[in-house]
Amino acid sequence: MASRSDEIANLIKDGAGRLIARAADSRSLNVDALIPRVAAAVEKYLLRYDANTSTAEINRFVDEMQAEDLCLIIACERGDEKAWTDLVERFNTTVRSAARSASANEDAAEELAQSIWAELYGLRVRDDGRPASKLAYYSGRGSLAGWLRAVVAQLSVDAFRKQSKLVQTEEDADLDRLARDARIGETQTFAAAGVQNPEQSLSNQFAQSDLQQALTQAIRELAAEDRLLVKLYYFDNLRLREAGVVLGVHEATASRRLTRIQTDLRKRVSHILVAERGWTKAEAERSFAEVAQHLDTDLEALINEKSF
Amino acid sequence: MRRETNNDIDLLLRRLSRRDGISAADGEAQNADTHLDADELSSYAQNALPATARARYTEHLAECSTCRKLVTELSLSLGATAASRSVETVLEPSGLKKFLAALFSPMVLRYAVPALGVIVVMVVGFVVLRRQQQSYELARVDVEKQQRGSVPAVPETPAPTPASGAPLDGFVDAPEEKAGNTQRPAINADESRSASGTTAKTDAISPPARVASQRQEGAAGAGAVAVASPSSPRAKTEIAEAEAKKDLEATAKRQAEPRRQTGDFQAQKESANEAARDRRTAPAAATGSVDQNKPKAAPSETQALSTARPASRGRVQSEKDESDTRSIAGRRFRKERGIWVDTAYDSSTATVNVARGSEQFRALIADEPVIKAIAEQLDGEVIIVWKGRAYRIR
Repeated sequence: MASRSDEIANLIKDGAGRLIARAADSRSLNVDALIPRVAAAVEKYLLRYDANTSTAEINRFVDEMQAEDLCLIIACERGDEKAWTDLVERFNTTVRSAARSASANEDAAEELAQSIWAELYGLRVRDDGRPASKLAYYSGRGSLAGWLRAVVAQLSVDAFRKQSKLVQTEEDADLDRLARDARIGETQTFAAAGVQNPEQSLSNQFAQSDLQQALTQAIRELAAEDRLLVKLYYFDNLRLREAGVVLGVHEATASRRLTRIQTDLRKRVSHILVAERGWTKAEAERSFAEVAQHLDTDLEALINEKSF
Repeated sequence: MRRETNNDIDLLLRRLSRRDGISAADGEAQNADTHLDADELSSYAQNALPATARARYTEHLAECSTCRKLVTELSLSLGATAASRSVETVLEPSGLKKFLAALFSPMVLRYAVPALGVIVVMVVGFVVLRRQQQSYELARVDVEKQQRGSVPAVPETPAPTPASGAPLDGFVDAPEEKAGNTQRPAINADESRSASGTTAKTDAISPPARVASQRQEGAAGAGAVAVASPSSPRAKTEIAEAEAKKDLEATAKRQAEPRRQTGDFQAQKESANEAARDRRTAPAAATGSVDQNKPKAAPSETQALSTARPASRGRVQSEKDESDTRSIAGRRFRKERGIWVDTAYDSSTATVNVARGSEQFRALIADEPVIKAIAEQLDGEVIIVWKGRAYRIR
């Protein structure tokens, strides 16, 4: 165990040396200044999930870190004024752009940008008296520009949540009402559609419920990436191209993957209905068709209900 | 069938998302502590995570709409492109296409094309120069062949016989050597046959019609000049060729000698000229020599000349009928009896006769621009010494 930790410590030290050598401007930092940050990143992204990560993997991880950005951030943490000046000069535009995207208007964007710089500089003081700077959370894996955008996005979400708890806007009220109506509408689907047979109606409701539960279970059993794609496409209403960007694949790849997922889901849902719910295969097939038909009916019913 | 089943499941999923999407947001706030931090979100959006970490974050993102939304925004704003890690990505260009793309990249073309152009120009220039050299060599070989195979030419104007006292003026085409003969026949002078029947020298290249220059006037035993006999050109050619070879060797040595006999030569020339003026005649040369004068040297003069010959063997004795001197292309030419003679000319120098306008002439001036320049600037007959060889251009 001690030898493993020593080995990792040596790897990190060597990696930190290579990292400084790669940096165009190392900001007069030495290897010792980088070792804690590199070690933290290795622990967070590698060793936490696999304590027996190979030497090659650790070396590759460290060699892919952003040397220039990491040296800049560490120099800023150490109070290097020139480094701070460079940081603001290089990334002020990025922060403002991200703030503008996350804000409703220019004033809010300006306010958000100012609060970002304050958070980065560490104007807030922790309980132990040390400045609480968000710079410490930058690991150097991704680019500093991307990290700053993420910081802006998170802060804007936090700010929005604080605000939304205080005041419920008219938009939110409408949303809640629609959600309530949608849930009610599902139970009254067949009534609105004019289905007269209550027994059949109840039977269909149970069938629908079984179907949806089987579908939920089948989605839960998907691989993480497949599940993420389903969520991005169906729940977040992204286009296939956008979903592909998030997953890091081409749109065509995302499309092929989605088609495969749909086929797999259908098979899995049928299996669950047959094996666990006691349905026959024919009933399962018929159920799919009926649900699709009823879906259109639901929408029509909702529209008719609203018009009255 | 597959399209229909996929449509069914597609509709089911959309319905499920509408129902679950609203209720799912209610539970999100409870999981705030497990949300991804900014570093994890940005690293995920930039595909900068190791596989294990990415898989775990993917698991979280599939369940957390808040983090999923942030990652989506970051990914789209950072413009992350499709990762190449998946085997299902779009076809990458083949190795050949990559190689061609790298070969014809702007950076390569910027430097490689000019360098290639320079190399091509150098190669072409080398080939052209080489061909020129080869053609010059071929021309020279042809000339030598012609020298060996052609009918020996009689000098245009007969040289005066020693017996008649005709002066030795003009120049000889090719050096000759015969026993006891210390005189050289003149190019434009009458040539006489010695009574002893000394052999004649021939000019292998000159046309054989120079018979009219023969004249016998009772050559003295000392230094009878030779005349080409038209009756046996081939025999004379062979003899002359042998003599020419000997003379070439002598010329090589002689050319290394300083011109220390200039004073003697001048004195001899003056005396020869005086005699020649007295006995100048104008028989027309069959070959149309430039100078029709064929003075006969007096025996005494001939003897004087012949006695001087050992000392200045090979020196050209000419009668200056004009005093022109020209310097062309770094060479000096003196007009003597209507012929422009290179001051470096030595009668023992191997001489090549070239007629203006002939194929030979064209090849010569093509290969030797200096000769061309001289031939253009000097009219009439010119003798040019070039690269150890004398060229008589008519």
